[in-house]
Amino acid sequence: MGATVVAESAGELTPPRSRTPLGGPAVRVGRELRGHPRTRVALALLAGLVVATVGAPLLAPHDPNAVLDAVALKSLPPSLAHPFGTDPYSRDVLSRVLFGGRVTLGVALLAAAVTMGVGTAYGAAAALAGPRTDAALMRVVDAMLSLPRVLLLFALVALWGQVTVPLLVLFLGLTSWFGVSRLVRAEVRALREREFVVAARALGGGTVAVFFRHLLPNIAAPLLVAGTLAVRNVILLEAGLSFLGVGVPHPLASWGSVIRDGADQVAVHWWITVFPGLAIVLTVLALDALGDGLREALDPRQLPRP
Amino acid sequence: MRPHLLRLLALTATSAALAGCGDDRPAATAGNDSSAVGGTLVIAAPAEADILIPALVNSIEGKKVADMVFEPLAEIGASLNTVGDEGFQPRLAERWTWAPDSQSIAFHLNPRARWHDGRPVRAEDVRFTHALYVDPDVASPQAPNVSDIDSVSVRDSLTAVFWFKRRFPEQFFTAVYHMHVLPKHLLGDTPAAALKSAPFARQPVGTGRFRFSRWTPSERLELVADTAHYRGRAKLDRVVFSIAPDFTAATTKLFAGEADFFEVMRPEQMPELARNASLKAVPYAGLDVGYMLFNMRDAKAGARPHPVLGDVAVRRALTMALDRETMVRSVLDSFGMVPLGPHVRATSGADASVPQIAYDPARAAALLDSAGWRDADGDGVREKAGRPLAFRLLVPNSSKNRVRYGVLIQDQLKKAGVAVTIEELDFNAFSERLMTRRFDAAIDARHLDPSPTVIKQSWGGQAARARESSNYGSYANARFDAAIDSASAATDPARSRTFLRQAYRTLNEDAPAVWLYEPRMVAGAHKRLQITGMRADAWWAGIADWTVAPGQRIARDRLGLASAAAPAPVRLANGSR
Amino acid sequence: MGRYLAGRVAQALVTVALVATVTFVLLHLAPGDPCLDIEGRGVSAELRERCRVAYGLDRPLPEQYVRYLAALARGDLGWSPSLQEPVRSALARALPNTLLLMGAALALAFGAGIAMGVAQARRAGSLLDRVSGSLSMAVHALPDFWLATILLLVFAYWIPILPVTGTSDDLVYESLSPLGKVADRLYHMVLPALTLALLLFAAVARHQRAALLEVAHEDYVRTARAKGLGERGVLRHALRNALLPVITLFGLAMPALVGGAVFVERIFNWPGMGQLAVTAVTRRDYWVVTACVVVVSAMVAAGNLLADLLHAAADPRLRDR
Repeated sequence: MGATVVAESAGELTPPRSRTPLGGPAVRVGRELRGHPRTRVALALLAGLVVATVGAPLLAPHDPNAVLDAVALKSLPPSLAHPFGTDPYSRDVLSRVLFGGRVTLGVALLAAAVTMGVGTAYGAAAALAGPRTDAALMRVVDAMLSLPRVLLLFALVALWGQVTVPLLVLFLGLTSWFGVSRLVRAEVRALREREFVVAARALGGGTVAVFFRHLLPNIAAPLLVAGTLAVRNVILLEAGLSFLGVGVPHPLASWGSVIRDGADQVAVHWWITVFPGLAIVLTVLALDALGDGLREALDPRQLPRP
Repeated sequence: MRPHLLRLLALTATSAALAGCGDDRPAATAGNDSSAVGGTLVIAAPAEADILIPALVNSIEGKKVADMVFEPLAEIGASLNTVGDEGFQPRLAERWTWAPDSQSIAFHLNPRARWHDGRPVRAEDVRFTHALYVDPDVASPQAPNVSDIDSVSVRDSLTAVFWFKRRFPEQFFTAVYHMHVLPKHLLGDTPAAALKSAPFARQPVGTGRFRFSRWTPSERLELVADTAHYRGRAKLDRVVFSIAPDFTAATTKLFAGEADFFEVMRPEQMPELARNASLKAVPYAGLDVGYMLFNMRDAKAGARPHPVLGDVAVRRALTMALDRETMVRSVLDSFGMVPLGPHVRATSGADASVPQIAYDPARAAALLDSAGWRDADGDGVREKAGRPLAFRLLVPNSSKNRVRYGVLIQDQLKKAGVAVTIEELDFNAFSERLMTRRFDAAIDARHLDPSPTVIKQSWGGQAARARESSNYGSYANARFDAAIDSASAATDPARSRTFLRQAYRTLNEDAPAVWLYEPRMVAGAHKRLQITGMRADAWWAGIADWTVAPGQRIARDRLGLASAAAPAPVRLANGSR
Repeated sequence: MGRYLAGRVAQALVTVALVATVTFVLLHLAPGDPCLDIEGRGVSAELRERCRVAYGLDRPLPEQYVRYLAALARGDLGWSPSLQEPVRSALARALPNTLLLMGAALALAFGAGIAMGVAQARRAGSLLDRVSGSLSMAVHALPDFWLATILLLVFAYWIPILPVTGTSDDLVYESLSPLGKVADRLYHMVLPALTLALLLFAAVARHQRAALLEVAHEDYVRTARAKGLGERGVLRHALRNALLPVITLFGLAMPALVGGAVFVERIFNWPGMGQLAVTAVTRRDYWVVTACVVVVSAMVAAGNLLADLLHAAADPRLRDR
């Protein structure tokens, strides 16, 4: 998973800087995003994907789980009747990719939410706690970061037996928050000595209240970027896990599981792997471009445009 | 250009050039290849051998190597007859004599038989072998199979006598099939507990027509011909097992020209096999059967019958609701048949006259209705007294066939108003659930023994009670037990078959499982190989007589026996395309 | 420096202990054990029980945990039930293969990545920058197993010029000259290393470009320019700081690389730690899984330490701790 964890950890490499809170610049951000062609394309792509997957019941020509004719229509190459071909169970691949997008994107969004939530809470807690607690908490994070995530997930899912979709979301979310916690800790540490935080605490605000009212808005920018990174990483992870044979249960379609169903005959039945793979690549590309655009737009010290 | 990119390009260019240098064309003159002796066979192995001592081997890959390096006293014939000694071929024993009362058999060893280290084979080795196989400290997986042998005694240095606890038709089979003779002079002093870690376990010395050469774990295992063998040397010079992590990788090796043989071709690969100019399809019989097993007992409370599947009407209805012909054609194409029972057509007990439950969805629906399962609330799933007609189907993700079947069964039964949830587990977890009887239904497969009465271990009543054997579904029927016992005891093959037929008929009526598939095996092999002696229980049985057609030698065949005598150093190409 | 190192080593040991504990808990929570049926031919309950006793699996969990940690502390990696050999031999085979692969991938990725990032930053905004930037983004978005599968398809089925499986030729390796052996191994390493490197390379290039561009506007760079240093000189100054984030990336890339190696090793049949670990998980071979995990976390800790030392060497501000 070279691309995934590296990308995630890359988010935290940008050192914390002084930053004005969001609010006024929201308009500026929006304009920045719309201005850059690459980000415009990315947003359009993502919008298209979301529409296609949300509208799957209307757009898909077949029921994604319908075994049409297990003998005659098995593993057919792309044709007019089946633009993406059929899989080894004679299910229409286009329908499965459309409906599968709902599962993949849904799982990715939910898992990213879990990741961001847990990571932020943990990182903030470490940053606001005493030095010994902080060190202990981060030691655990270090330990978990040194485990190759794919292996950990594979072990979890393989050992647990069959996972339901909610459980999969939980596993994916709970194994991806370590980098986020580091990022949040770094950001909050930089901010906690600032006057407004010191003042707020002195005025008797509980730590949690201080966090939500003063700290969170100021770290919202890098969190947003980290969020897009989290989503794209989960999408890639889910696909990879399905390839290893563990993932969403049958007969549910997700982009990873469609690939898995055709993985043993890639050379012969390439369409079962290529089309969902393309969907994954396009989505991840769009998210990467969006993340880049957000990072640039939210950075007060901008790089000069060519 | 960046220096590293340049390096990469140079490397690629060099490799390409070297690949082209491989001498792949068959020899123009057959001059020095006039005898059929020689050649190198590379077999793509989808898994790794575990241990090479026959008594302890627990993997199929290990068994292949053990079968090639060691020998039994006699080898079963191609017809797989297990009654009496008909069809059995002499191996270490050149002949045998039955005692008049049939309580013992004396095996006369071939005086020219030698271990690979040169020492002669003695009757003491046979006695030692039996003692090892039954030693509880050794814990051989084969021990239950030889439990009917009372003892082995030594009459003279070349005669070993097997004594049996009772007379039964498969005495000879029991004596010779499961045991390979082991060298007392090399293993005699090793304590049982140290066997697994002994050097012999990874560098075996046997009496087979192949001797062990070397083993690089995870990569390859090499055997070479024993040129001084008493029954004639193996025709091939060497056999290399090229180890792959799974079936897909092994197939890749074959199609990429890095291997000459792979034992499992799937139907989807046949067009590509046909297109490939150097490969051919080799069909052979197999002894595998797959079925959906029902748990007769409640998965949560073992004493009670299963609330849904404990009713024979439900099980019969489920069988009727499944279009097994279509499923076989979908999953295995022309490479499989619907089995007639928990046996395959290749074994001697197979019987096509046993009545089968036919595919009849209308009758299935009627049967379920009359059993009280109706869809009252219109949600597509039948219920009875508040309980839905639903069960969980266990499937191991290590078998593509079983996963495919699982999805198709789920789909077909949905149409019959049955809700099936597939639980896909890795093989270890799957085995655990079966062994502890915590399942509703599971797609299991068996690699059968040549002896038809082995099904007693899977369906016999005693097996159900003793949680020792593989009757995971806890099926028990006295009529079946009686029929199988009579079949084992009958000395006349015809009478034995009559009893077997009764046993199969009982099984089909009770439907403790749905018989799903009996694969027809097809291997992919290099065209230059002349393959012979493939037996249903071991396709490698005749491998010592496989040859490479003289005029079709390729680079790897010219390596010869001594590995140091390899020709020119520029042999980086894969060797055959 | 010595105290710093000692502190870091102590931290690393704690990390390893934590990792070992997590692994123990995960594995023992799971159904199954190494004594079960591995081939579908049935294992009798009695044999299974004997096997469990032989491996100490019938003892209560806390006792097993203590023994396990104690053995690890002694350096005793145990016996592998699935491979029927000491774990240390299996590791001795797999680890060099993985190190070789990862070393090649790291060298390729960082070498090419840094170079590319610098080139892009120097010509920021040009066509070359934009095109190569988009391409590297596209590569970065590919799932590892997908890329590996495509490469396999191309080089096994369509243009068979590279070997697709194993680390060396099955037949002639033993008889090759030492130079021939090296060449053969390199030849077999091309595809797997390339796959691993490509994904990392894209990340490194993006990072290096961004870091260099940021630094380009720092005061000291403007000062350097004003002082009349040539482009080369300015670049050197800028690079010394711009390399820092990339060095950190090096430390973080380790577990990612091992994870990616799991797919690449499986698809190209490269017998390294990834393959060893995955097979061991399915066979519930607790000892092999633990050994793999411990070794990987040790490697990661070493990688991080190296990155930190490089950081300290490059940035004098970080030296006194």
